[in-house]
Amino acid sequence: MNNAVMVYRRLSRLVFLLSLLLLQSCGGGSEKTEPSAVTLAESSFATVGVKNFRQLEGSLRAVLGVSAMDDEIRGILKRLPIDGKADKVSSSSLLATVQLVGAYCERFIALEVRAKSNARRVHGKVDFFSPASKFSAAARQSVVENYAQAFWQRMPSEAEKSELLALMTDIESQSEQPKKKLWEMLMGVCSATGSSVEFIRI
Amino acid sequence: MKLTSVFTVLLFSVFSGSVGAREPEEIAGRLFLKLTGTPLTLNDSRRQNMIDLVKVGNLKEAARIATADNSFYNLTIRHWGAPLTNRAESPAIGLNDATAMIIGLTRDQKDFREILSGNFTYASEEVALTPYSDQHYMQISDLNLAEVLTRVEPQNADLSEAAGILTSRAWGEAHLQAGTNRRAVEFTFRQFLCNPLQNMRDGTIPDTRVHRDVDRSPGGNSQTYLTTCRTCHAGMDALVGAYAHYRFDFTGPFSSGVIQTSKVQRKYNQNGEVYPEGYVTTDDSWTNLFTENQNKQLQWRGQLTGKGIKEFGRMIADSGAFSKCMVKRTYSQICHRDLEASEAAVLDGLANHFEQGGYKLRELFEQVAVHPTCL
Repeated sequence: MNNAVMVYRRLSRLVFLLSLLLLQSCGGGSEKTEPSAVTLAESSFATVGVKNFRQLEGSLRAVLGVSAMDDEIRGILKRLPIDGKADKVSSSSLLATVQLVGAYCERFIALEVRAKSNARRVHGKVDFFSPASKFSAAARQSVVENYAQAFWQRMPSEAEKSELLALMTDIESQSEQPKKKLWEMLMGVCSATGSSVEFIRI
Repeated sequence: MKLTSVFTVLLFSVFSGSVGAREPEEIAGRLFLKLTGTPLTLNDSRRQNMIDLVKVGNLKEAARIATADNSFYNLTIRHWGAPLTNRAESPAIGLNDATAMIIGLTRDQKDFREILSGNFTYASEEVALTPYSDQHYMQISDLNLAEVLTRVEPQNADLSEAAGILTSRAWGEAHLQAGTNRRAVEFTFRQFLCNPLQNMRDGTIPDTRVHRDVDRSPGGNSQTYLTTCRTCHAGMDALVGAYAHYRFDFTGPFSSGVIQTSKVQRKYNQNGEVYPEGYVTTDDSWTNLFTENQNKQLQWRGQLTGKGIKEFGRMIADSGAFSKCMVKRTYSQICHRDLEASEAAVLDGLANHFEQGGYKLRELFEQVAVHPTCL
């Protein structure tokens, strides 16, 4: 496993640990110290849960248009949350979520590579056969916006967009395999948006 | 750029960006997500329709669009139904005939009380039906169940009396295998009245129907029987006659299923030497003695005695507790929390609506999803 892959996997894990804290705080009873947690708990949402193993897999299928059920996916599904109650979420299930999203992203990007550019869901402006250095700013922006719209059903805010673009730059600078650099950058954005709280909550 | 802060900011901004004023777009998206478990994508042609309905306050019709989606059946109803069909009460099990029945009844908008008394099953015509193995359902498990399941009658040509899930292969494997069939009664209460037997214990019930295999003086102490054993067995043994003609057994080297006989199963009168004066089962009659004290709240309606599994299933399904149980289960799954004791009015209202609407499970899900305490 190269450095870039390790970077985004490690960071995805961090996202989920933070997610867990937030979900627990909105479940009631815990001391609210983070402004964002207060906002969530006091929002108009009566209940917050996370997608169970069926919903997460079904959502990835719906959003990415990939049917990837195989032994690897079945193995991961066994470690995902069985029900959607936030207090049932465990570190193990969160890590499995990241793995599942990664597995779907991998298959999705492979599918996009084979598709004509006008038939692609997310990577219409990406030239998969050029090096990452030719990955233009406009194409990067389009990838970020398309992934946000696919997973979150909305455009990313300016702050989110800039963070995701920065993530791509970081992976680009840390990747040690030039031929895989572009792939890793796309995997990074796909995994980050797909394993965000906004996508896994219900 | 510090990657850690990148993700932290991203995470928080994702949250703060989603909790503002509740726009129709957001409500439509949440309704769809709650009911189908999948997002309503931006390019989905149903999206604008749902938003327009939300704008004019017609949440129920908006919910109806969501429940027409295949994922409502393939993900939501399958997940809701699976725990009712296995002893571990787990949703993470393979597809079986009982879960297929639940999906099918919901999709076809049948009276859901049929689940405890109907002579039917659901299967796919694409694969040969195998009533004495799980093979059929294992093969169709990953298919689009919302489309491939078709209703099949009778449930099993070898059964002269079928009662929905109660005579399904899955239920039989879970509760009619070996033992005394008492577990089948216990789990009928547990799954369809949301009432563990423990909550139904009643020391005032006469013990005239307690079977011979129950020791009246366990450990030499008759008080143990009177204060503990009897409180459950008096009512439970009076009902277990409903299952007297059924067992789950192996019909061949690789096949097994529910077997119905014209006579009482031998296991009903086994261990008769424990208390020879106890009740001897001679037919499949039953009587409901769980009717007084705390059990009044189960709201029994109609006949409280009968013969066979079908009449037993009807009695359970006609009770007020059945409707409330279906509401509780639905609310818990869709709203991600259990209804609290202080929300009795919500429970009663949803249960009444379920009954008055003809016990349509699909409508119950819609009603719960748009309820102000859940949305």
